[in-house]
Amino acid sequence: MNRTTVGSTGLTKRQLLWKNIKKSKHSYILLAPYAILFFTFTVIPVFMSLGISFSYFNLLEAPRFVGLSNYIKLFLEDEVFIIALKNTLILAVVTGPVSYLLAFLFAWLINELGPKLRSFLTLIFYAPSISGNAFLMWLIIFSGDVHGYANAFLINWGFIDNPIQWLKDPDYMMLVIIIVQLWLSLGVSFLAFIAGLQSVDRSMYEAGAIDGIRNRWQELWHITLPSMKPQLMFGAVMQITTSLAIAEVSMQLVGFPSVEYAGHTIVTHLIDFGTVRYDLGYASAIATILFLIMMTANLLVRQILRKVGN
Amino acid sequence: MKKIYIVLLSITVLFFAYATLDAFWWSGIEDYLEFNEEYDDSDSSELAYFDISDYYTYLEEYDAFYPQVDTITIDAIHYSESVGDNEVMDSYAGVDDVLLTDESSEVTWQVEVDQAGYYNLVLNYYPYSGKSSGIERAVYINGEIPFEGAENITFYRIWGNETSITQDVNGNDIRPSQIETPFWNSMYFNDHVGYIDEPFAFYFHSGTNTIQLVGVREPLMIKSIELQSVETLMDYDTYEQMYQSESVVEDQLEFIQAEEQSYSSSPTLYPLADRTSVKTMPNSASLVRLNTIGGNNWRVSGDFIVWTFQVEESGLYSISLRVKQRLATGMNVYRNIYIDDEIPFQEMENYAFVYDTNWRIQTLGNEEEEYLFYLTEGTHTIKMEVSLGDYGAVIGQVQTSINNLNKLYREILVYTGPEPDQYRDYQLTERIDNLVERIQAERDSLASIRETLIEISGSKSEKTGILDTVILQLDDFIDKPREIHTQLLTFNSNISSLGTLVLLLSAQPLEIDYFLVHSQDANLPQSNASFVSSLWFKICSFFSTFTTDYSSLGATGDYETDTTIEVWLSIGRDQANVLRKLIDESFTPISKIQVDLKLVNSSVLLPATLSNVGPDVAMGLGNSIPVNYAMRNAVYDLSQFEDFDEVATRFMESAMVPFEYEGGYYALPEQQTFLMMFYRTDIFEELGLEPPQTWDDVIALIPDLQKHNLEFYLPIPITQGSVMNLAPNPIFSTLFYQNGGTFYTDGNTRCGFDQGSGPEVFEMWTQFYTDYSFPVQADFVNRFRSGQMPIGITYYNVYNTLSVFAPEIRGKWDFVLVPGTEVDDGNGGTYIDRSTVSSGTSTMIMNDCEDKEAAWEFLKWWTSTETQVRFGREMEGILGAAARYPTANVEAMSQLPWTVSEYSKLMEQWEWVKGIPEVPGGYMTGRHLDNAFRMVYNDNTNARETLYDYVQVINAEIESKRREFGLD
Repeated sequence: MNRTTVGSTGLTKRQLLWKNIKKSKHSYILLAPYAILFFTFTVIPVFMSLGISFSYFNLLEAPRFVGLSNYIKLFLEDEVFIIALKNTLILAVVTGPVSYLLAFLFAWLINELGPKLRSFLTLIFYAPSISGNAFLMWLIIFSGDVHGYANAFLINWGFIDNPIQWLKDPDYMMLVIIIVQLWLSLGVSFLAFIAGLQSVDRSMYEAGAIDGIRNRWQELWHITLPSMKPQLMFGAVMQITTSLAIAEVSMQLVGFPSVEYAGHTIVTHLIDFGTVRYDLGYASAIATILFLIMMTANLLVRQILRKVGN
Repeated sequence: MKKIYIVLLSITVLFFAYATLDAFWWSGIEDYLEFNEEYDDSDSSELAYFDISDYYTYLEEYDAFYPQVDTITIDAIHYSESVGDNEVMDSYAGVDDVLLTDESSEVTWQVEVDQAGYYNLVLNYYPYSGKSSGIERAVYINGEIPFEGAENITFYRIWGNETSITQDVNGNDIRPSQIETPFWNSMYFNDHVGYIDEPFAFYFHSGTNTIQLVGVREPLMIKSIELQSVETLMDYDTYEQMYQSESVVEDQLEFIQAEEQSYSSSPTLYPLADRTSVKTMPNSASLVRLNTIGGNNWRVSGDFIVWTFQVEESGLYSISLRVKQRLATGMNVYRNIYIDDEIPFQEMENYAFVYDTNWRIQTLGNEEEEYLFYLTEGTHTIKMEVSLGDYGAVIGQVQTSINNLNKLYREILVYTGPEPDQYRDYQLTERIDNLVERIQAERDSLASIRETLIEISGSKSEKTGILDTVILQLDDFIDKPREIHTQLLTFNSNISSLGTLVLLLSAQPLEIDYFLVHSQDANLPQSNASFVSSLWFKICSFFSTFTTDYSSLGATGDYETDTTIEVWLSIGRDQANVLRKLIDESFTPISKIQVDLKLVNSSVLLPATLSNVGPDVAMGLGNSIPVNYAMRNAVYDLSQFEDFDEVATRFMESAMVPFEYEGGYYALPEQQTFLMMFYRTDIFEELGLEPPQTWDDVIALIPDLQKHNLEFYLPIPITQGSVMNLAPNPIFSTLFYQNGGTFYTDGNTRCGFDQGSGPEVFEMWTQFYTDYSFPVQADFVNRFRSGQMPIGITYYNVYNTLSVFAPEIRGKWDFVLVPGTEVDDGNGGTYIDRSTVSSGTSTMIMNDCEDKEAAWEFLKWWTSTETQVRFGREMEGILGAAARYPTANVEAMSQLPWTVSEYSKLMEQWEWVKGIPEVPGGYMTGRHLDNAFRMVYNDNTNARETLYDYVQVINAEIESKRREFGLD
């Protein structure tokens, strides 16, 4: 079809493109600031990282091409990576959907309340996400000392005799990270959901009632959820990226490196190689894998969300 | 919409009305006497229910007779006995026949006293240069220390500005260095902690008495000791009567800027920059102006500042000061005020400054009238000395309560342990004598302290809040003594908060802007700016932040130099400022090398080096960084320099070990701290225990400690947060070295933990936690304070923390060498191997550096004894004793203000320190040693097998890294 158009106007493909660009130059100008920033700080680094992952690069000397050896090492030799992968997936599966559902549940409940109480509760839920490193308070709660809150409580009530090394005992470390991550991650999706619930057209419900919606569940499934799909999508993407990229929480709480790598995630593994071991090629290979995992997860979630309301 | 306009309009009108009123009217009616307190002539001995009551008991021991006789002078050179390196000098600094006594000297004098009774002692001394710390002596009268406070009498050194205040190239004021400006002066023997706010009175019987001074710290040059009769000061009414005939001057107003002090007792008393008020003189919205003195640095009892001023005509003057006292919330702070080295009248003793958030001008006086001081024409001095005033006795009482409560806590601990069973009745009332009565006594004493505090400062504050909590809990204990054990944890933390109370009460900060010596009728300036002018000042300051470069530290002058090196450091701003000053004073002028100093975050170094914008020299780096950079050819090998070997002798060999890689040395050490064993002398004495000499002793000591439910601390450093390398556990390393272990064997290709006695040592170390249940994680300093953990091994700089932040156990703890292992010396005998390990920081030259010789000059200058000592002292000057600098330079260490006995112990331990080498892949050693330990501790696995497994992992990493760097 293109070809015929080109032929009929007597312009080459390139000329036509240029003409089109000129025609809508204002759109391009408006697009430019974001596009430039996005390319320099996101797209180019991603491709650079992809390139570096095929090289040996110690940060202080020039990179050297080594083919697939980083990837071979990653999958065949690196036992710690497998641990990190396992931990990350556990964290993603547990905290991702759970906090997604929880966030929605809370948003739905709170949305029913009066405006004043609603804004207050919204603040309470959103506070952990905006308060930066406030999750460090969990360090006191889960301190391995007898004076740590959790230990003191359990000892006082006679559940345990000796303090549990919450942050240094591999049996408990994942539990602690999951709890803290759940507490932290409610905020962003929650806020999006609240906004989504607010934006649902009230008249839809009336129409729904006339069309035979009989209970709140049906209302939720057939009206509320479909009309807030963009927010659901946003929440899901945020949730996936944050839960797959958990690192700071693990590092701050259980230490870096954590005991027996029990709190090791893909990102801490990446940091380990990138900064402690000065092996950026290898770290880039890890990053590439992480990138692929995130892409897959996103596609998957899109598929699932498409089914909402059907 | 109209509504909004109306509201806006009325706000604007109100604002202008307020501003105008503020500028013209309210400021005109300022009461300069508003903040004065009624003089309170209470005698603190009435409250004498406390530890320092030792002194008051002493006062009651003999007849309370205070003979009023002529001063008896004892010349120092006519001593009767002398031990140590003392020297009689014909003349020194203009005074004839003086005696220089050594740090560890004992000198005895004989004195004939006609009338038996109590006398004050005065020392005429010269603060002979030493290590710049306070001079301390113990006093023996007739062969014994009369009371507790006489164990260390402190004589002050005299400090002054080295230069007047100058400006750097940007026009900012530069803080002048504080240097010793010694001269002959005299001082009463008094209580250096300030709880007793009058000079000590010593009892002499008639006939021959002996006075002995025993050195504790620093050398001291003595001219004479005087026995003076104890005198009481006259009150103001008498003073007024005395000068009634003198005329009151007119039309006089003289400013004395407080930042231009003549001399002071401490290097921390340097000029400060205040920007909180536009009226502070001098001031500038955009530049740093040093305009006040004191503040938080001037809070320790006994510290004084002296100012000199001129008076044009003789007569009666008023004195006013512009001060701010907002740091001690809800408290008064006290100063003794001396005119020409004498307190003119009683009211000038413990003169109170009440709490207020703003600057104020306060005229010395009481609430109704201002005091008039008689000053003759000419030069005078005014001296203000921190005193604890009414708080002295209170603090003493709190101290006693802490001691008693801590003792009680430990007695309860014997039966319950630190985590008592909630549902068990320990029958504490039957087991501990007078439990309830003792708690009752403490409760009453704390309640009376609370009353006193409220009385003094007129209101409740967070200080009384601490007391309230404790009293509430003690009430609970008295009501239900059978449930004491359920609240043991909070009881313990309440006791430590009483320790905080002691710190809070003994801090007496006061900031002074200027003095005014003026006639009674003088028109005093306003103490606070009007609303408009202070708003304008703040706006100017705000906009000047856009033009000021805070990251680079400005140089002071232009020198004709051809070379500039860039130095990055990742330490605090205070440290950086001191370094900048030292460079400008003693490096650039001599070497003609400019230094571009930049304060950066340490994580920036790697990316910066990568992109070729890195520095020439990097400072303040962890010990593992140099070798890691060296493997990747980013750092320069310092052993290439001709005089490297000579420079390396400045440090212990152990300090250089981590910087060695394949025969080259890639950094110089800056700091080195190593392990020492801290223990509570009072508790050990009480239990009849001795600090352990060997690890066998430690094991033998454990049952004795655990019998009383006390704990032993062995540190397990953990990584938390920021990315860092976990160094091999210091205690394991200590044990491993003592048993002849080697960290890396076969040419650094494998880890040596599994060889020789390694597995055995690992098993022994893990047993401390598995079999003897040592706490794996604990806050050592706090448990040490409460006595729950009366002994522990940790890095020696914990000394600083303890000496500053744990006043309630002052003098009740000590440090000694770490326990050793008995080793065969090959001749049938044995000796104790005290080997231990250290941590520290380093400085290195980057490979990209163009002028390596210049960078090397800088490194040599920085690690030299002179610079390190000056840096250490300046740091201590700015931040106080908490910042004592753990230099790696051996000679510099001897010049830092440690006492003789502390220094000799530190040196002995330091000689034993062994370095841990850094090898490719070495970051795995500490990590997997910790993993092995955790596995044994958490899962009760076999220690030796676990170690073998993890050594394999470590070896694998070393091997792969060696392959990467082509070392095999």
